[in-house]
Formats: sequence, structure tokens, C-alpha cells
Amino acid sequence: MSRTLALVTLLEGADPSRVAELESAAVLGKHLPGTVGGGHYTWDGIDDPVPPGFEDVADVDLVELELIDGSLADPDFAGEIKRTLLLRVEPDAPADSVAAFERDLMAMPDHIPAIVNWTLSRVVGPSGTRWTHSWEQEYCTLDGLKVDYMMSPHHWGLIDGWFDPEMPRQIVDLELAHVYHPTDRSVLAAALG
Amino acid sequence: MVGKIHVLDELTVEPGRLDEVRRLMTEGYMAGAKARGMTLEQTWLTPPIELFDQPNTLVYLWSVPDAAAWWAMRGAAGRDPGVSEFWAEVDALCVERQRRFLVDDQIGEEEE
Repeated sequence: MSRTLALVTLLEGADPSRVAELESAAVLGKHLPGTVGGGHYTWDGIDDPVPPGFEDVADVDLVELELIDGSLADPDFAGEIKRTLLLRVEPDAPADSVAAFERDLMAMPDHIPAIVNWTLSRVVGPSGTRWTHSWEQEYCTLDGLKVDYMMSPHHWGLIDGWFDPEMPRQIVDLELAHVYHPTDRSVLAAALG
Repeated sequence: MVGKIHVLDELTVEPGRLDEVRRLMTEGYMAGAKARGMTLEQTWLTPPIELFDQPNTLVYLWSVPDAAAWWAMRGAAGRDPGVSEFWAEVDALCVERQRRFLVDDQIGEEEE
């Protein structure tokens, strides 16, 4: 079973009243400051990403995801942060390295209890998408992401080696979409249901 | 809480290329590393004399003060395409290269 996710980028100078209209009409997660490379909103596959007739959008980067694995530790999760990392593994990366990278990512929740619910998915469409993986998590607080996750030695001491251009084992392209937004419910529950 | 983090680079160099790698590190890396917040603590050569028919390993031990400084170093390297180009040039002269990150082991302290 697959699902869709999109990163929505507004046009520069988008009409604020139209943006307010978009935010009330669509189920979008508005990105918080610190988001990198992923536009203004995350759309998690509920209804349409952009209502018909809304023209102030520069880009809808939609991906089709196929679940590798995940965990719904708290099905009643009521917030407050959903984070998505879209990344591209280099096409010439050895298969055993890709498998080790996926295993390492999926071990992160064992070392970082602030990760409540999580999924790791392969991007299986559309054809021509630049992304290969989506790594999504839900946290009870923003500090869960910015402190517990980012400052964990498991993250900087092990996982980041797959991303670091100074490391011989780097296989992930430097251009990432690291986005996070407030939420009052689990958007991963449906993916793991 | 993690304090000082050491960064250990091990460059196993093709026979006969040791001076080239030393020069690359000195002229092409050290100033940038310092600007990214890295302090060079120590360098070593092993085996402790240059071999001409087998590789030698150059070891560079760096440090950054803490995890925030580690991310500052990492972010600056990621934004500079010259860093990955530099390592590609070094890698062409090496049979193997590793980078490891080290922190103080806490076992001894727990016993006190």
C-alpha cells in the first residue's frame, strides 16, 4: 500500500488573503522556522494539496511513498511536531550500503526516545522525482526534534556519516528537504494502520 | 551530556605519495578546518618510518568543543563544495581513508 505526501511552496509575494484562504481550505502543515529545502507546507495526503483555483503556488513536490517500516508507539498521539526528511541516495551507491543506511535510520528510535511514531519509506513515484526516501517522525515537543534528535551522539556520531561530504561512506545527496510543522494529531497513524 | 568531541582522520597512503598528502593537508585543508572550528590536536605517522613498497598511515586528531560546534563544523563543510573536492583529491592518493568521532568513555567515572 502506498500513500502520497507533498511539499508545497508558495509564489514569492503570494497574496496574504489568498494564503489564509488556502490554509483554511486545505489540510496543510505550516513549516516552522528552521525548515530547510522544502517550501512552506507539508501536505500529508488528506484531501487535495491545493484547492482548485488557487494560483499562488510555485511548486507542489508530490511523492508517492511505499512503507519500508515504522512504529506507532502512541496511536493517540496528539501533537505537537511532525517532521519529514526527503532525501536522495546517490544512484551509484552500493546496495549493501543502502541497506545499512536504512537499518541505521530505523535504529534511531531505539536510541532517541523522543521519537514517538516514525516511518521510513521508499519514494516510488512519480517518475522523475529526485527523492528516494522519506524519513518521518512525530515528537511531543519541538525540543524532541531540535535537541534530543539533533544532538544525539547516535545522530551526529553514526547516522550523519551517510550524509557527510567529508566521510568516505557518504551516499546521500547534500540537497535535502528537512521540514517540520505543528500538528494536533498523528499523521503517521494512517500510514501504519 | 557530551563535551569535547575528537575527530580522528586515518589516511592510508599509497607508497611514495606521503609528501603529496602531507602537503595537501597542510595547504588545502588546515586553514579551512580551523575556520570551521576544528582544532588540530596531534598528527601521527604509522609505521613510524616511510615505507616505499607498502602504504603508511597518516593520522590527524582534531577536536571541537561540543555537539553544537560539531554541527557548525558539519554545516560549514556541507555548504562548501571545495571540501568534498579536496577529499576526492586526497582519496586518489590513498588506499583507504576513515574518519571516526570519539568522546570520553564514562566507564571509569562511574566506578568512582
